[in-house]
Amino acid sequence: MRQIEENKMMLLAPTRSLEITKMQIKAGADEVYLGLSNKKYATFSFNGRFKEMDSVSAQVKDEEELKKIVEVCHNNGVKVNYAANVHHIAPELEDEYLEYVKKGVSAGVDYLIISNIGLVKLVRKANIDLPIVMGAFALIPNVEHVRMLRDIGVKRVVLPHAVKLEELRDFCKIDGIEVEVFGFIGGGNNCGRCMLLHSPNKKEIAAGCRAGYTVESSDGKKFEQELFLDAAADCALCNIPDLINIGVDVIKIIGRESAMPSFTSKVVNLFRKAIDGSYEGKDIEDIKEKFSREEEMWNINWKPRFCEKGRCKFKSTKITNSYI
Amino acid sequence: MKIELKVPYLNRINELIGLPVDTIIVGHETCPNHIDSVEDYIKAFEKLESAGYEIKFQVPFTYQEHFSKMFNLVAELIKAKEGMNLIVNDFGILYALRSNNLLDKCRIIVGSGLSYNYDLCPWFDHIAEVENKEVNNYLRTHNFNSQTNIEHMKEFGVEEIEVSIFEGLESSFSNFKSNGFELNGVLDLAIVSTSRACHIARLFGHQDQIGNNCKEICSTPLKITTTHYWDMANSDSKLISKELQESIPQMHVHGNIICMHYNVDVKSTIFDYLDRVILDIRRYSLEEIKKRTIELKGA
Repeated sequence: MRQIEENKMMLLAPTRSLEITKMQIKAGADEVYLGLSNKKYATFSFNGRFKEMDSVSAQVKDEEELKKIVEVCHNNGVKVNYAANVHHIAPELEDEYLEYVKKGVSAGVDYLIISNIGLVKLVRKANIDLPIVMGAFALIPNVEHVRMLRDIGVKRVVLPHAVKLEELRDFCKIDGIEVEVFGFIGGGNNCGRCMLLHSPNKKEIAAGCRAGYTVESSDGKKFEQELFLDAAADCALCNIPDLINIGVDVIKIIGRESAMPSFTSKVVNLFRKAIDGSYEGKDIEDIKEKFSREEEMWNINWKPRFCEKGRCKFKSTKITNSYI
Repeated sequence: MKIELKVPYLNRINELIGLPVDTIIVGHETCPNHIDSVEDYIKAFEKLESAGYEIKFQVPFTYQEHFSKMFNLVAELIKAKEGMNLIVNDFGILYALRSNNLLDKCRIIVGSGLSYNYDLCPWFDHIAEVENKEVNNYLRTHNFNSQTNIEHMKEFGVEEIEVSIFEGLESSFSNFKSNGFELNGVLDLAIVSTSRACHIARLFGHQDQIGNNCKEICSTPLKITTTHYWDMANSDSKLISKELQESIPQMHVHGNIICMHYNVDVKSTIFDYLDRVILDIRRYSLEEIKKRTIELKGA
């Protein structure tokens, strides 16, 4: 069983099945997050992802498997975040949403991820008292927003993809609430107020922030621009020591809908080594270099890396320099 | 029906005098670098008010780096003009207004930075087509259409909500109206997405100008047409079929905002729920604004 030290930065990994959960635990996750599928809707779900992305399920298939996942996690000292983070729902679906939340509670999950203030209040009114993580779709750009959420009993906030390192210092000074940031794979726009959605049923409509566009200026000049709206900064690996020093509580790896879960667990493992190494005073560059040397498949599958692509989350790049 | 006009550029104020609209909205939804000084706004307010216009100020969606500057500006404006109409685009500004006892010194309007619905997705019809009619209706609700969200907005003194005008929002509008909110429908220009990054500055390599008198960078929009999709599994861009391309509305980029143009029949009954209609100078020429206003007032 993994022994978690008090106040140590936690590593949060995605999962959607028992098998992937075991991979993430082995890779060194402190917590996992997941959503539960449903049979009623074709693509819609209550957990911030459509049921499938590019024909890959994004969710745990049923309650039985969910219970097994929770059991395995708890046996290994790993906590389970249950995604109930739909952007918003119609009033007619509130009872069904609460049933969905209760399935997670009954399976024994540790946290609820919710992304809409009304739904936080709805869950509390239903006397569900699990700790609430306010998800990225809530789009929390400043400290005062965090204070508002703390007032309504939120335990942890997931900050936007484009938060800056200097800003994190202010967020981490707030008492009584934990701060979670994205570590690997970003969102190009303000997730939560971005409707360039990835279609679950048409492969040709992927996330609009990574689509290709013809761009036309007012004087009629045209530019063919692959990735014109791609403002996603993807990787925080090299800044893990900074995040630890600032006091970030949780770092999240994205990818519960990933077609390559073994790749995702490899990323989790790299971040595990970087976090542990940082606490031991090791240099991140050395950790990266050793990991690349030891993990042959990693080397083959992941080139060019975000380092070469200039997709660092907290460093000066073409993307981060375009932040307002 | 009152007509409001969004004008994010103070340097265009003089052109507006004489337009047949009732209200001028200044400020910006998403970019603090678009915001001018308190003195400039007060001068603009005086000029516009003496010409008979009501004024609203929208404070942008604000990342922490800009928060003190934006909040102090709002506090100064409220001090200079108690009772002013303030459009908020993030909950942090709203919370700070309450913490500083300023909520009852202004009229709070929720702006397009906070208010949205799935129909703002340019290809939402494609996404929703696999669900049945009942689910489709539910999916087209507004993000604040629930009793708990309505209670939250009332707790913070919200009186008006800016909304897009989609037929699928009728039950949301009905619920808002029965709870006492006034609705301001943004006509013809919908905010699809917002970003921290200025896409135009990045495209043209003007990153070093951001925050340094950079308003000109995004003063003329870029028109974008979707041509390729990102194939996540293969990490590659692939061409979208012509047929699908044609079904996706053209979009426009204004700095860190991506908009789509949409057209609504002004005789639709959905307008019965609206207290005001908002036109946007980023969509129209002055002549078009005059024409649209006359059309709306006659509808």
